[in-house]
Amino acid sequence: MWRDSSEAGFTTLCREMCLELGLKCCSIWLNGGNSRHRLGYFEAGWSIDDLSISNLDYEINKSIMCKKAPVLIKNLGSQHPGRGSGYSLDAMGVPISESNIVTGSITFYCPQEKNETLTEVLHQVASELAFGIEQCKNTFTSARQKSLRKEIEMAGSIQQSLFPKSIPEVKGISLWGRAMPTNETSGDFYDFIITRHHNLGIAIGDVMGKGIPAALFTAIARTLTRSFAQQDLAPNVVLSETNRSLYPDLSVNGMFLTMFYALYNPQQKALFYASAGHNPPLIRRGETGEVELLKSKGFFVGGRPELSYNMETLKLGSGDIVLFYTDGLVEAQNIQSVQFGIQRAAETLRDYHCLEAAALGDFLSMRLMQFIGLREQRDDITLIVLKVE
Amino acid sequence: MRVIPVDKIKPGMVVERAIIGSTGEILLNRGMQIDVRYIQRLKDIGIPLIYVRDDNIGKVEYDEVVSNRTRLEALKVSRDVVTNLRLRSDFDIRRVNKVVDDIISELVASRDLLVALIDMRAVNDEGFYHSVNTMVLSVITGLAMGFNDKQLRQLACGALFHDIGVIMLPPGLLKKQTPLSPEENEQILKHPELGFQILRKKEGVSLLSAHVALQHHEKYDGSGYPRGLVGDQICEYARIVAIAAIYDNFVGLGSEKQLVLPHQAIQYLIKYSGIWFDPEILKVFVGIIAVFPIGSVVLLNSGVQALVTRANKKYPSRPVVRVFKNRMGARVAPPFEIDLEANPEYFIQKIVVEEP
Ligand SMILES: [Fe+2]
Repeated sequence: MWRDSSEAGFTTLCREMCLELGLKCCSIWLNGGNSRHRLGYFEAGWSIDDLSISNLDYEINKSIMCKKAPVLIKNLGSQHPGRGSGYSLDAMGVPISESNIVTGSITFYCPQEKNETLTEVLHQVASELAFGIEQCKNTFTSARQKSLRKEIEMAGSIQQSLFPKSIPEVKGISLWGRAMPTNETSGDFYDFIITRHHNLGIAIGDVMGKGIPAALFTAIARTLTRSFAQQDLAPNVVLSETNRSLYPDLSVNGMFLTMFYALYNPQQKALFYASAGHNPPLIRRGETGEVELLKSKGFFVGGRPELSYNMETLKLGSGDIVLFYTDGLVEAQNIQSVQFGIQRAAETLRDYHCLEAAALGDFLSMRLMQFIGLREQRDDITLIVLKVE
Repeated sequence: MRVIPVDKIKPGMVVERAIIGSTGEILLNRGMQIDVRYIQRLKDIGIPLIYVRDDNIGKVEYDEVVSNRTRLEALKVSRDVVTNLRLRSDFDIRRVNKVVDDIISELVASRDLLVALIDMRAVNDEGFYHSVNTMVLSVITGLAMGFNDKQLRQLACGALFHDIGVIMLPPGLLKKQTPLSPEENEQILKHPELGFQILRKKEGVSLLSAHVALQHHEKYDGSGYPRGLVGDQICEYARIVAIAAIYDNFVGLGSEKQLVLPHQAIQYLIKYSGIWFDPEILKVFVGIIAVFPIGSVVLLNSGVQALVTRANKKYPSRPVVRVFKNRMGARVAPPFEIDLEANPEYFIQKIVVEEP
């Protein structure tokens, strides 16, 4: 029954499990890329009127995806006195995995004395479900070949390592970054690095090429950059070192990458930067309101065995906004095949210049997605905003 | 609870947020069931949208920044002031002070003040609704700027009466649909001066408040009127009220067909930062407006539809949302919440106000 990919099927399955196994509530989750879906949901004779509890299955799913392990939260009842006086509930979740990759979860609430025996059974159900989930997933991500699925998911876990997990706090500026990959594999990367001398390194790059090899190179490039950056190397040196290390492998595979690296010194409020054929970032000056490009000439990484780059220096002033991006931003198209373009990006900075980096970034993302509209996003887009307070 | 445009209302729906008329009466109370007559009434007076109950989405907590009772009183007081000025060229300042105090103490009492609900006003507002709203927005801004009680009172009084001078203009001039003649235009440009004269002579009104009326059309770059003052030459209260009044005019412009949402109004204000408006004060003002109002429906980048349930003071573009439709368009039952601050991989792609 659950091979039926419709959501009604999953809800029926949740119902069956509730009735057969004596669960109080059951839901099935599917995760992929950066989205999650509740495929099915059923509650048996116990109404969840408190959202903090009904939210719990979302939280449990999140934790399973993160830890890749079952989750058990004991004594729900005692956290919520006055409810279900007769019994106390546990909330549990088991991962659904396919070839060792966690693709979703079953979460449920059950009476306390039951949870031991249940875990076993539900693990079995989960493994059976994996197939159904897989099917459903394929319908979710249309036009993608099934045989590639596994590889792609592997690359997806590589991708988790392409972007910083958190945004560092740096005195005097607000900072924001977001990656919008087109699918589980991305050719973009970005990174924020706090160097030994407490400067901020900002790296953004785009591997020319698609699919898993691109994602792998992106991951390697990011790791390399990070290790050079941590030593406070000058941006031009970071790029030439990255090129020296990557050239052999890149050239063999006929690949290259564009990259921009900037080092921000909070004491001097100065930005040092170098570019390896990357799109020039935009800067909006707080004082004059004028928008300029941070141009710097440089050959892309992987082009030649030995490359040298120029370092540029820019003093930042109060209210200055710098937008780093990959070409996916300017080349994003709407249904009429019009490109978003640098002009619209500049306009957005102008329109929201009062806001701090995170809000600016959110509005830029919103305007971009509204521009793209019904058209499918074709290339990975990565954005970074730095704003001087 | 969710917001729905008036033309989507169906008989039987239950009002979740009271609707206040422009002259200080409750048009529809919370909990009332809507019938055909009410729908027509709402359309007649031009209310663009209302908040209704929605059992599928569930309860949403919200805060009116000022209680309905106090707001109604403020509307009544401002109407009476205008009537009295017309009839006997005087008004009762004690009633004004009382309601100003009430509003300030209500605002002071609420923590993390954020204007997070969509404005629902009738198109037939004669300016009272606008004056009261401008006062509320100004006081919230003043609070965020760390004003003390005395400053807040002066600011509030100035904001409430910033346009009081228009009562001296020939009736009908402001509502005129046809282009104004040069003489008529000249007359309108006099309202700041006229308002100043009324307030200046009134005992119990601070001269600083009177200056708000005089200077609320001055612009930061000196392009305003009547005196073309620049930057700090314009008194601080007037610089605040200039922002609040224009913002309120903007969101009040909305009609059934074309709503002006907070983020659009804010974008407009930012465009004139440093030109019309004091950039520092504007920054503060932007921080008190929730860009995605509670009760509006948004589309997330993951393709799901969600309702904004809680505003975020620190990151206004990242509210808490409750997902109620998956990306296939099927209802998510029960809905679940995502805190966009804690989950930055999700972001709002579009605000749709009502589900399409
Ligand atoms: Fe005015």
